[in-house]
Amino acid sequence: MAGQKVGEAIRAVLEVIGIGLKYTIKPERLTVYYPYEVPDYMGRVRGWIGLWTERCTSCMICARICPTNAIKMYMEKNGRRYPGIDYGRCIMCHYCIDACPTYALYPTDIRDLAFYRHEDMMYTPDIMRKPPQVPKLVPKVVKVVHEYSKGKVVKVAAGELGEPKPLPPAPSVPVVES
Amino acid sequence: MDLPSWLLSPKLWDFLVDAVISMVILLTIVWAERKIAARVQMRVGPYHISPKLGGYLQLIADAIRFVMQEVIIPVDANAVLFVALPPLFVTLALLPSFLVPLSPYLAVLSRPALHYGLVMALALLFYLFIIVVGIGWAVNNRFAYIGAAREALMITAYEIPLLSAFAAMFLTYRTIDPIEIVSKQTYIVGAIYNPLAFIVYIIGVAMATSRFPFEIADYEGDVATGPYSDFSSIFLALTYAGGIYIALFSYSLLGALVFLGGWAPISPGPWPADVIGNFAAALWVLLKAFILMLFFVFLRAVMPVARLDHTLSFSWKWVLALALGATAISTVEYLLL
Repeated sequence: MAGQKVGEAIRAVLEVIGIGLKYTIKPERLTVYYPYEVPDYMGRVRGWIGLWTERCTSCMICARICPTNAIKMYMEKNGRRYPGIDYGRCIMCHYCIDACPTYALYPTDIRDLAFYRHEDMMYTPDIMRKPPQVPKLVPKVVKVVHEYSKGKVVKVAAGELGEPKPLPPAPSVPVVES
Repeated sequence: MDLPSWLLSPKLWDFLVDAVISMVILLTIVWAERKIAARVQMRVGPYHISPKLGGYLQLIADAIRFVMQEVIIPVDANAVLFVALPPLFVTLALLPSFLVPLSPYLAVLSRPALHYGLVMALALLFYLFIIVVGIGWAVNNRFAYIGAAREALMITAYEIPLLSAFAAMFLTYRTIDPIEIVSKQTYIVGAIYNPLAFIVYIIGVAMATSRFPFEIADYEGDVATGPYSDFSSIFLALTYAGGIYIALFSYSLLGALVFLGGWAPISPGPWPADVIGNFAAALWVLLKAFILMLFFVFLRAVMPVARLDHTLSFSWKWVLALALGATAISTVEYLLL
């Protein structure tokens, strides 16, 4: 209002109403109907973090590097400490995986993590060994293509949601005896 | 077949048509507001409940949730006013729509009182937002106080231009009787008789019912729903979620009669013989009111929120000048027509 010509203001109001009408009649939506269709991330996703306790040297680098202090070291029966992750705090930055000197922590593409209770979010080392069971709710997977030049989003069906990928094989580094 | 006379009473049918259709319009307009805003913002809007209807039943689900929520009355609030004002708000918001006819024969008021129906409706609507100030006082919360003070300032900003827009139209038509007003718009509607008054009406109603860009008294970014802070459950449904829209319906019904020609092209005959014609006229009026409401809720999708001082200076400088211009046009028409 201030310092604006009256004509400019009126034209701006009319222009914005025109733009609104255009989008009302012909919307360009970016929405992926997430629970009903799952976007295909093509494997490029930071998901649930697995642990091979045989490789862990209990060096605590993962716990120290964790930016949200989600990793806690738990005492196990063999007298050693292994990391456990609180998924209520984990932001899936995977710094712990990057920092792990023995590749004991490994990434997966399990991303649909949901919990009924807060206690279920605490992953202790013994349950971190096996990946969580993700229920297969929605079979529809779409590939989302952003056409920035035209300002549009094209969704291409990318087939059914298959079985979860098998876990990566253990890398060939010397196993630390526990 | 003889029908009992009370079944063909136009007062009863006006009451029923207005009450039922205004509720249907309320449901539709809230859904449409959310859908239009979502479309412009590249979202989908209500979808999950009844996806095949486009999420139309979402508001009913919300209403059930509101009704089943626990009623909380803050300790510091004035309990009597806190409980009494929201129902009064809805009542006063819906009452003006009963004071105007939906067709020449469908009216709650009968002839001598009906002459003053429009003026009475306007008076009630201007009282309505004093209740909002009262609500803000009863809540006893600093955000509610600020919201109520903003509402009080806004009342001063829109009341005079809005009143003079209607007064200008009364001057053009040389009457305040709603039936005669509509009969004078058979060929030219009021918005063409006096476009300045129509613009003032649009701006004034947007200010009065907190439509964008004048959602200042209850803008969540500033004052956390303003006077309605601390209201929950059925009280929130009666004020913020329902009452404002019902007030918008009443304003739009008045605007449809005065500015958009009412039932003008349809001229139904006397009531018992021409039942269908009267209902068609009523639906035509309500459709015009609905289109006006659609425009007001469409503004949410495209407008930013104006600052309070900008709005006040805009209102006192420009809208008041427009209203004076509208009165001048009407004076010329009064002398010429």
